[in-house]
Amino acid sequence: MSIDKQLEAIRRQTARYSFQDGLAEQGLGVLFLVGALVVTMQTAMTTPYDTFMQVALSIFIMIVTVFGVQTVNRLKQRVTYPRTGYVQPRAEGQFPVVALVLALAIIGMAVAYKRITFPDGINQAALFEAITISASLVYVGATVRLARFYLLALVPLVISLGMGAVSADIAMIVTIGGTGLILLATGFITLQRYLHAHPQEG
Amino acid sequence: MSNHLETIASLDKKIHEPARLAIMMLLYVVDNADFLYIQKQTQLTKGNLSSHLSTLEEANYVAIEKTIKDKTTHTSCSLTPLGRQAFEQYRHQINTVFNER
Repeated sequence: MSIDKQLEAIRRQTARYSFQDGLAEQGLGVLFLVGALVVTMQTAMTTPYDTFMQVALSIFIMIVTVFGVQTVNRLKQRVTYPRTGYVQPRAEGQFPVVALVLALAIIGMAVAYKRITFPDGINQAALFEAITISASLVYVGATVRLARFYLLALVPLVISLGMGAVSADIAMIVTIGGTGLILLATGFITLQRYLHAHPQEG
Repeated sequence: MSNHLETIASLDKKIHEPARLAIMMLLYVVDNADFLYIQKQTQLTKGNLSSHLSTLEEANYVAIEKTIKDKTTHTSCSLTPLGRQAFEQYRHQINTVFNER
């Protein structure tokens, strides 16, 4: 193997490392569950498009995201770094073509949303939302080079396709919440495997 | 061919040693890594890794920063600009020698 290929292999390994303990995956799962909660609250409100509540919920999601990232970092300091060490990946050339293609695909879908009529039995809103979530998971998979994220990307699609008989709101809540639960579960399994493979020394 | 032999003979000896090459390659693709991470990745013993890191630090190829956190010493390593430059030159030389047909 040439030195350049070796360097690429090390680069991939480093990118993968941040998701090898399952903690970030669980953080993502919690974020999706909070997202499902927010959609539930919006649905439950008598005036769903109340501007104040919309802004408040957006701020709430931002706070939860920041808090979630900090919590995952703190957990990594306690769980991961004492076992397998700390590494800060180099950020060169990290904004890939994949991100651009996915962003364009999502914009394209948003534009097409009003124009396409799906057959009966498919919940259009939930499916579009599922495609957006899938795109983000594919992006994570492409960035950290972990194949399980490509499989996880299928989860929201499968859930949304099974939501044809319910209202759009319920379908969206189940799609986001279901994806969050699956991410929590896979993250938990990954964490257990990681802890088993890397017992704390001393 | 003789040019290649000259190139091989002029390879940086501080980098052209398996353990140090592994350390340099690892640090080349990251911003910084701690001692434990490098040890786990390279599978070197603590003493061996420490010795090679000292050699690279003396050559000013690697910057080592030690901090004390929760009563334990945390050692963070990164390539210096000189180390990055030296590794890039080494990589270029290796590629020249082995990739030319």
